[in-house]
Amino acid sequence: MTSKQVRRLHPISVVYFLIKTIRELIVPLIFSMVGLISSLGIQGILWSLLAIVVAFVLLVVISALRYFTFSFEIRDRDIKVNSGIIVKKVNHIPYDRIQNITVNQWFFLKPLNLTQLEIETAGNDKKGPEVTLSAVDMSLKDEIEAHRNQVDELKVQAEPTTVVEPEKNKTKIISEYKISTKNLLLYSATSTYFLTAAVVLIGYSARFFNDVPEGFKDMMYVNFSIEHFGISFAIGASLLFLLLLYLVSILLLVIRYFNFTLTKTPGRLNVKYGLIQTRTVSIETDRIQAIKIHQTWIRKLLKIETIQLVIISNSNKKDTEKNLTVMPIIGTDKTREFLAEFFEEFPEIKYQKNTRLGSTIYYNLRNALLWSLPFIVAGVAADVLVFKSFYTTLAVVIFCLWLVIMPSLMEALRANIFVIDQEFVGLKFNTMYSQSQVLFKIDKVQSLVKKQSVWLEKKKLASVKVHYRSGASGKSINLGYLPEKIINELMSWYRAI
Amino acid sequence: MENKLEKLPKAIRSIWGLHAIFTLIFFLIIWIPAKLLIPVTVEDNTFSIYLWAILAIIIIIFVVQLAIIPYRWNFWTFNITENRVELHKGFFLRKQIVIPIARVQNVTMKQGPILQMFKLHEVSIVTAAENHKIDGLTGDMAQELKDLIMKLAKEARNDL
Repeated sequence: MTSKQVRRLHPISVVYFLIKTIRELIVPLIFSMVGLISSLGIQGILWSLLAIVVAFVLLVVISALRYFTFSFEIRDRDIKVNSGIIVKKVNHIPYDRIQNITVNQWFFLKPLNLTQLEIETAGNDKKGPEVTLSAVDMSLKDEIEAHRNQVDELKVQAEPTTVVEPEKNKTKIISEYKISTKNLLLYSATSTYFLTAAVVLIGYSARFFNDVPEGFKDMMYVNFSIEHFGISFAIGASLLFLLLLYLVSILLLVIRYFNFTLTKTPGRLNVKYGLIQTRTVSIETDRIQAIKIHQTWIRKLLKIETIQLVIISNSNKKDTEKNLTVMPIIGTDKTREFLAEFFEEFPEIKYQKNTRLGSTIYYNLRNALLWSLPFIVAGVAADVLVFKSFYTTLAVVIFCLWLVIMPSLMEALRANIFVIDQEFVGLKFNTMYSQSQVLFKIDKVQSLVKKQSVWLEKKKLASVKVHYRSGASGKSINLGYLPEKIINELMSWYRAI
Repeated sequence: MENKLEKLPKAIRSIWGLHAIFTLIFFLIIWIPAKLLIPVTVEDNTFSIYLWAILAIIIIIFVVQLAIIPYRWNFWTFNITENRVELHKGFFLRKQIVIPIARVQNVTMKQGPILQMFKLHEVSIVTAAENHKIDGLTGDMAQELKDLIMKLAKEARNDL
């Protein structure tokens, strides 16, 4: 094994760098083009064409330079990466600091046997160098894994007190799950992804509206105005638009999660999915911080849920989902079986009856109303003093209901804690759009904060905040106005560590 | 320091007092120009009543903040045992923070200009998720706390 050899990425990574830079620059480019055209007219078009050509040439040159200045070595103890056109960077990644290697393979790389490797590192003290090898031979991953295993074994041998069990076959598949077409469609069809996309699109088009030249706007107005066609047309058109978005989003989700496969190997869980871009993520079981069982309201109606893992990572990339979905769709009756098979460490969850306190609901609602009050008062004042109508008040009330009061009510109805055994606890809570259950092992809860105001002491109510690690940062779950007894039970459970 | 319920140094009370004064000054900086610059309008009476009401609220908040300080100091305690660090703070809104020693990643210290004047340090107990802060400790206490926690953390990791 020529481990000392300095290597380069495959030349096709120039294309990858090019695409990456274009993606970063395309939106500002379009906006400035539209700006140029609307202000300068024909001249603007010529200028923008020139700008595009120049930009393209520059991009190609830069991508080529990036390719030529990027090199890496697979050494005995670490991977050394050299990069940078003007500012030279050298990254050393010792094998034992590698937390995770994600394999990303675009469909056009498959025939060439190439893939992209994303190497994530461990370490809480530093953000950690994160290395992306854009296009390398597929065998490289196995090479790196071999080095990782070697280093692991050396470490184990160094400690005389541990018994070394030769784990020869680290790739033995213990359990496997492959999504069925029906479930894939069900998952995509019940996703609310298209709604967020719709909101974003409407936002964009509102911004664009100002840049559209006057003549075009007039023509649209004359031919397509509401007065012309009637409000039913407007409603119909919007519904059609939403339907279209919905269908497109189903298609996109099916492509993204195509052939979703979950496998369990010794000490790891592996998830593989995607049609155009096949993504493989491997997670060591000790990086799992919690299991999250999650239902949007639609899925609750259909009695299906999603199971995700909260994991620790140092990745700052947007692509890496902070919560890893390990089971996109599962019938609620099958969850127990699934968890027993893939997460044998987690005990069986026995649901206790929800002790729903009227006071919990009262206090949460009271707080929500108190928070909304200044806004509502401001709205009423504006209406009475300025607008002489009631629309502002109506808008503010709807706004408050949607963002403050309803979510608060949802939370109050479900917030609950159930201690399963000495090592595990489950938390139930709602958000406005979904219902969740999170299972923690005691050593993954980073800290607990019990909060109680002087006045609630008499009512025997308290709140608790559970701090945990998700991705590269800390998160917390806040459960408010629960019976103090339950919270104290949680605190003594935690103190028994 | 181990297994003893500790309080913060008394000097922290002066710092809290200073914070209250700064908050007061901050609100006054907004209020005074508002009072002077809003022109006389038809609704003059109602508007100036609002302004005076707001001033009253600002002053009440300030007075309450000052009055609370001894209670706040009394209720701010922390306790380090072999297994965990516990912080208790707040008078009206009481918080009890439990951090297992095994979850402590690091103990860091910070000093802003006000803390520097009083020779105190803000100590942060760093976990993988959240940094829990102790408002102010003397240099010696801070160092003692840091050494103790790191020693216990090392022992906790060796036991695993």
